[in-house]
Amino acid sequence: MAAGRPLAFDEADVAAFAAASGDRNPLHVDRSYARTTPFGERVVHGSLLALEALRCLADDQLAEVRALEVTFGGAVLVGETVEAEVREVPQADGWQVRVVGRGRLLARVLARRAPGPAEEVDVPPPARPMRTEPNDPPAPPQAGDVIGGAYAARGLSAGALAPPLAEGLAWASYVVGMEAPGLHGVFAALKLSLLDGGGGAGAYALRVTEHDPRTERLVLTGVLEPAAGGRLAAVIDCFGRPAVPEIDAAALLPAEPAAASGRAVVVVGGSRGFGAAAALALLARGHETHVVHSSPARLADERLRGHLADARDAEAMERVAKELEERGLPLHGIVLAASPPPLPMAVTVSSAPSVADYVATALRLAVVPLGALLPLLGRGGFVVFCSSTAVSAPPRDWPHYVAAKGALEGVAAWTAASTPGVRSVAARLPKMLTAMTNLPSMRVSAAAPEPVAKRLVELIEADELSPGLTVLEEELT
Amino acid sequence: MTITQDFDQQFREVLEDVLGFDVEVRDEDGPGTVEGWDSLSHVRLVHALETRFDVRLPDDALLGEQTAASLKQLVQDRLGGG
Repeated sequence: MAAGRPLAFDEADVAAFAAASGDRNPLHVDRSYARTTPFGERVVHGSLLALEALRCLADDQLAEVRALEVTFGGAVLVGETVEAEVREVPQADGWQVRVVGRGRLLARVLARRAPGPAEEVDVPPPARPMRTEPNDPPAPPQAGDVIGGAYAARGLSAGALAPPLAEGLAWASYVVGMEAPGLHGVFAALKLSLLDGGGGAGAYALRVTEHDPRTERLVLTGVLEPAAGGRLAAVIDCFGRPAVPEIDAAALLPAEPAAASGRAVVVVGGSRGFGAAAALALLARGHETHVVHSSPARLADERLRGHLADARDAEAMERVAKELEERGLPLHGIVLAASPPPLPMAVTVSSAPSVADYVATALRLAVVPLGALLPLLGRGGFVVFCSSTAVSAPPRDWPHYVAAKGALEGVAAWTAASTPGVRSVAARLPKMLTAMTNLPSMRVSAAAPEPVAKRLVELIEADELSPGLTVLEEELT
Repeated sequence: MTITQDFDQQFREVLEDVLGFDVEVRDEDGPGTVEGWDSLSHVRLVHALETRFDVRLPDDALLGEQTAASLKQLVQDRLGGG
């Protein structure tokens, strides 16, 4: 097999495609927004990836293409290098480009010489101008709904590919990121077919042919008529990521505030998800609860004391430790809940550096705060290392995550052995629904974080855990 | 063609439509054992099977701890064909 052709996209490439396609979804262009998603970094538009992957074809081949079938298997992040390789597929009368990265197939683009079958949808005149802000509807569209409006791509660069097909790719990106699902859209697959005719309407119409509330999958079927001529039939397959519910403070905080314990606790990674739930459960026990968080966020309760700091930054964590010391309260507990988002990976020769980098980043998020805070911890105090049931039942797509949590449990064992009197807890948390896991495949059967956090704090505060190492798993569910 | 052959043929068409026309899928294959059969395409595959056979599979089917054989069995169970 021929060596792949490297593909990489920087901030400017993505910004240019956002401007050309009109898909200004913040997942592509806003780093701080992307950090709050399971991707952790800005995601290259799938359509931009497909357009560049198609450049693996020679110009005379590309000019013959009349239909595209694109399937996405994973996100390509800004700054990441992936590989594309093309081969001719006579049985499909065309070519297939595979894009591989992190040891996985991230996209497949099938380019055919013959247009595919098309379902006709009438294109009404462009009643609505293009959106400049992503749609964020209170409820997803339902099967049978028709979505339509004006569309025009500007300044697309697509080489020898038929301009309507290039515009169709850009349009599909716009539809998913700006219209339906809109702000919380994830692009999964696309079929585009170049048809005869077209009145230069500069408009599209799509019918919602499927909506499944279990995974928020949407299938949109319809037609785009580019202003420059041509007519495209399209089937767009995508998912919505409905907002994860906010941590339910009422479920964790008693109506009557507990008496002040006179002790302080710190939750690293405590502004969202499980960390936020753990912070509230500790607050409920009357502890002065400090939260270290890396991106600006409103904390779950105003009594929480926030420290905006990158947990990997030694100087920043030393400052946090100093502030705690100056408060004068003895430190009773540390919860290490910060973790990088685990994008799926496999272990291959080419993905190995990504796996190792993930483990290093994950470990740094725990050991830097541990190094800064452990000297302040009193006898009988606790350190919670947020591990995962993935350690005992490794998920296929997450070798890096399993390795990182295993390493974390190693640090928990070391902490127990080298810090007498301290209770070191490796908490193997179940899969929970948080902003970090909010993907179609992960939403199913995910637990709510509140009961898990409540149970963990109950176990710690019941004083049943003796000094040394405790591994909690079944006890938490 | 018997009904069973027809079912197998339709099942295979759905697999090819979602996972790619050139993918070889054995009964024991599942997410991770075939290139392109990942967690996202698995969700799409389950939805595509539901649409093609007009059945509703249990939520567990979406989780990815499945094989081609177990999915086929789930669809057949729902169709009442055992």
